[in-house]
Amino acid sequence: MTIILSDIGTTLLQIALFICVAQGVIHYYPHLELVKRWMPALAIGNFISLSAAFAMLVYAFAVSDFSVLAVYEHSHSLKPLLYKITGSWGNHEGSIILWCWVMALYNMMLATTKQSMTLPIRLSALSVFGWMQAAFISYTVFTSNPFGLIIPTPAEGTGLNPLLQDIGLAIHPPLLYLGYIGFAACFALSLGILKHSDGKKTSLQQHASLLHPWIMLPWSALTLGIGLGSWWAYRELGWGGWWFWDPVENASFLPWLAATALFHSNLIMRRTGNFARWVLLLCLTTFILSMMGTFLVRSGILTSVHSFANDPERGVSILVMITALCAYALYIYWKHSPRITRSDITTPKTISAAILLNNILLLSSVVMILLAMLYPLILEAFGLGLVSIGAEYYQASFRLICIPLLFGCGISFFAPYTAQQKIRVTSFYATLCLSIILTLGIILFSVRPTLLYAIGMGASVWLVLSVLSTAYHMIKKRAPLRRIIAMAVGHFSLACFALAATVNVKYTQEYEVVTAASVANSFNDYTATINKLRYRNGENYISRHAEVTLEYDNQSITLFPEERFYPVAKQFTSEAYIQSFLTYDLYATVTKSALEQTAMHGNNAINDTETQFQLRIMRNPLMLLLWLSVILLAASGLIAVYQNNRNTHD
Amino acid sequence: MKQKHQRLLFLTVACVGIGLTLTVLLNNLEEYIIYFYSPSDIAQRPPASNDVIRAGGMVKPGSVRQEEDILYFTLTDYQHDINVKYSGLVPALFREEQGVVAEGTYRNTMFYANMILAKHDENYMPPEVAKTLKDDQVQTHITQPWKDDAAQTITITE
Repeated sequence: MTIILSDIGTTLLQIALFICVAQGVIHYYPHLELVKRWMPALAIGNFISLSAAFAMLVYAFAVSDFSVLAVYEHSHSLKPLLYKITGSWGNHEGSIILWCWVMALYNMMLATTKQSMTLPIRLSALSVFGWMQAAFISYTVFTSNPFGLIIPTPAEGTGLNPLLQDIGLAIHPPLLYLGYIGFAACFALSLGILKHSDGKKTSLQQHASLLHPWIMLPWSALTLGIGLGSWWAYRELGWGGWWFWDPVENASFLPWLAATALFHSNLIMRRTGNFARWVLLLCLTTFILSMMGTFLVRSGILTSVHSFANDPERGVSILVMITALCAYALYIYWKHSPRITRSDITTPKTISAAILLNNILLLSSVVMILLAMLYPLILEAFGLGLVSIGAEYYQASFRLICIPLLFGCGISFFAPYTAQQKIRVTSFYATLCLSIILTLGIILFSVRPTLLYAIGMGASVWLVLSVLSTAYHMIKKRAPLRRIIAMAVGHFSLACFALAATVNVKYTQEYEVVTAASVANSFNDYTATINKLRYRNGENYISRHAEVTLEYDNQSITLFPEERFYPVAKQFTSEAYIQSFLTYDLYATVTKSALEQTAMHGNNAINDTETQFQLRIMRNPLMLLLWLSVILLAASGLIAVYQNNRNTHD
Repeated sequence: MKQKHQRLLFLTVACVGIGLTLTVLLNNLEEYIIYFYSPSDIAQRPPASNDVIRAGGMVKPGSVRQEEDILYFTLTDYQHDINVKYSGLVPALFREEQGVVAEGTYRNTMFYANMILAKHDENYMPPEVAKTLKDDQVQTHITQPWKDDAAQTITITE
């Protein structure tokens, strides 16, 4: 890339910055009609210039233009093309420009949407969005300009993180950002509503419809993003687990929990105009949690086993931004919220009460996670020792919250919206009896059931049956089809997820052994033997495929776990071999033993016949159901977005 | 008046609820907290024998030895050593002079590890370990494990 091209890239960013500031400022111009005409044009212009800048960076990565510092530091000519391209957002500079680009996308969507919203709210939201985006773009330009050059041009790049060369992780960040930044739209709209709403119940109901798609769309993207991250960890880390309560995972889970609470409350606000202040406050909280997650992970303040692109200094400016946004949002909320009509008293035995409980539980889990993330930082800051919080804390605490959440969710389906209507008592008891019988049946036929397993099973079965019963009831009542689908699919997939997780946690079998090749290792009903080892040259790595024969239930299956060595990065990765069946996965890894690694380190010759390998065989039940339920969950959110659009146009 | 009562009731319930939740959470936190010790820390004030702790340091050269499924090695911070006994798989970057963190219990001069952590990065140093070591003591290098000049197949069972 010549200096001119690099200048063009930087200039494009500066133009985008200028447009964003214009978008922020123009709001104060008194001639509303003019402002209204200019806003979409500005938003589109901003999107185009950021797209061009982003495309330039992606191109530089694609053709391995090492004159660009970011490419030199984070890419390598030996990477496959796909990972060169996706690698453009696998580093700090690239990910921050992706963040800006997604922000511009939402900004444009917000500015050009046909959704009915009153002019002052729309303009005020766009102005807030403009300022926020200006902050992020200036952060990009001034602290992490992706178009910085390095002279003279190096012959080869230095970066090649093998773990990032995976399709799951390649599309994971864009989806996460679609989630996080979508909540920025909620944030801006919520501030607009606070400033300009008359606070009457009927207008509050309209505001809720206005917010709805801007919650559901990012929520779906975030659901899918978290699912992909988990899928990546399952396949690539070689530990066979899918959720580790790692800081990175927690950081993305926090806004997800808050957003889930948010859209449930928003349903009540849409229907009755109640819960308005709470919904508006949650909009603000959700985005702040998204930013905080990014900050904590990006800054390296929290150490994670699988986080990348850390830089403490850059974290400080994000912290300043979060504090400023937080202060501004709270000030606006404090100043304007008294104008918003208070909620009526929540009557017990209605959906409102159930959703109140849902929100309390979901937010308790936010507090639970946040507490454990921050506690070690606080102890360390006061010199009280270095500590970490074990995954057991999260498991024990999350169970306490999840169990009432799942049972309560099922119960609430039988409750009416208003106190005048009656609870569907008969179908409630019928469903209850049926699920008790079914649960008992399942437990009777389960191998060595525990109390926890029984409760998890009971909750899942109860939820599935109550969803089915309610869906039937709604169809009979001729409720809008899309609403039935969104509600039924959403909760059904939640139930499936709970079921899969319960069974998975209970019945995962893991077997680890240090063994030489061609030795038969028996455990339970399984016999595993490493038969052959094949060495191959990959595109940018050398790999060792092991051929493992596994005999069980009178059948024999061959698994091919692989270990790769990337000479440039000097890294090993273990590529687990996963054989998926309908009801379980067989999962195998073969890695070097401690002795082999030590020998290698001393540069001794390695003889395959004497070498000991680490063999791990796992049987993970219901993984397919687990992944499917996450996809279904995200899909139900998307259906819900569309439903709202139809309603407003009708 | 009724509304006021309702609100008061709500506030009371909310306060009690929040208090209860926090108590339970903090209790859990206290129960599952894992303190980090360097080998010197352990030498100076050994932890209670049933406390799960994390110990971090460098794997001492020449100390790695495997007996059946049990792995023995020594963790060092170049001032004190602790002997570690571990049965299980080690991460890809476990080797001599690599910073690792072991989780387990310490009883009678032996650390019984149930988990070994090392990051998938050659230059990675667990931050806790880095804090207890001087920079110039940190040196890692790795040699190429397998020949990459030609693809080869080695068949063992025949």
